[in-house]
Amino acid sequence: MYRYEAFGMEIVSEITLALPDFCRSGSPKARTLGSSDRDFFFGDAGRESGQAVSGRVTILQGKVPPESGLPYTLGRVRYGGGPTWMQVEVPWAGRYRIDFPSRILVQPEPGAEDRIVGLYITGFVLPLLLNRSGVLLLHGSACGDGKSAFVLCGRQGAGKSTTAAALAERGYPILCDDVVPVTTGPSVLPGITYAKLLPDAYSRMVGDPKEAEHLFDGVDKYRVTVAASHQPLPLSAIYILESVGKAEPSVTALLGMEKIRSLLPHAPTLEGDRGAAKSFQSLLELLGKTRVYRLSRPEGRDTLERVAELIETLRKEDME
Amino acid sequence: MITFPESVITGTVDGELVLLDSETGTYFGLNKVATRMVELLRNLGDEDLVVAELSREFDVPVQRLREDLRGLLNALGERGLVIELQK
Repeated sequence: MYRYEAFGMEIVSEITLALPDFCRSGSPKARTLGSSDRDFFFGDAGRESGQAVSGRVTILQGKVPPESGLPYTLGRVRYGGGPTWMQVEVPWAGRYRIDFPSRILVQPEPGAEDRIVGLYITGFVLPLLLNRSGVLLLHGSACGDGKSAFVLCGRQGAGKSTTAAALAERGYPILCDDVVPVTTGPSVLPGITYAKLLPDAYSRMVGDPKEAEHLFDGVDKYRVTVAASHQPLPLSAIYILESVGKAEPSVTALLGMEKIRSLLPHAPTLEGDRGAAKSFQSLLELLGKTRVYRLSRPEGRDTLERVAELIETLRKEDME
Repeated sequence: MITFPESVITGTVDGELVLLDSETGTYFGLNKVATRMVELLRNLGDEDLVVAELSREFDVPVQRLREDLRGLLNALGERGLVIELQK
């Protein structure tokens, strides 16, 4: 069994996942622990911040019979369920049965690579489980400075992961990439703590992509290990990245409905998702307490350093 | 008197009331004056009392306030975001 710590949960899995290894205290690192039946909080940092991170999720391999009546589709992925369960069927990866709140059974498709099977667990199945328990999920990246966290949102290709990686190098370790879980407070829970970069960003920041660990997720992206933070942190601000035809990067503080309009596209909910109403409520609560900025930058120009500087400056101003 | 349907989630963001229908995904934002109108309707119930209170708070003719309040209620009602209860 593999043991991981992410999304505020201990995850015990028969399938290898690209998540931080479990550690009782301090930052998670590679280590092997014996099994334990005790319930506990995850990480001392979680206790310090008052985040009662509850529960353990068990992921097992086994037979998952196909469900003929799954009503919803997302491309070729089919899903559906009831009050206590949900099933996701990915033709090229496997069938995933979630029994809420804490058990996932996986039947990989014959010949499917482990990392592809695992990718749908971390990127789709675990978020569904989190969402059902009332955790708001934002699509983006999050970084922190030990005291508070900030989230970067934006359309595909807006530079979320790249900016997060650049900020991690500047002393703002990454908490999560792709899926950002936000719980009451609001606080950001640590999740997938490596950045996924497009080839050009990888070339610019790291080196030759041919030598990288390639991460297939339907998009040609490369996994990069950056400085990571593994403790829940209060959410202080959200930056929505946009590419526009302006001469220099600029920042606009958003208020009221502008916040909602700008952030709703980055708080995705699935059709038929029973957690959607809770997510909307959480989003409204979050927006009542959190600063939101639109960060516009010129198209087709390398302004990564300037954008990172702007975010750093805004954070300092907000702290004063 | 008004109430919100079960599917409608409300929240105040920067002083502006947001109503969001979780079934349809429709959302509607109110400016600060309209937010105050809904707040008073929820507290006082009666449209005449609300208009009287609004006329004390805003330098706007009573007739205009009455029309704006009715217009707001109609707009929200048509979108299924509020239910007007019978007196």
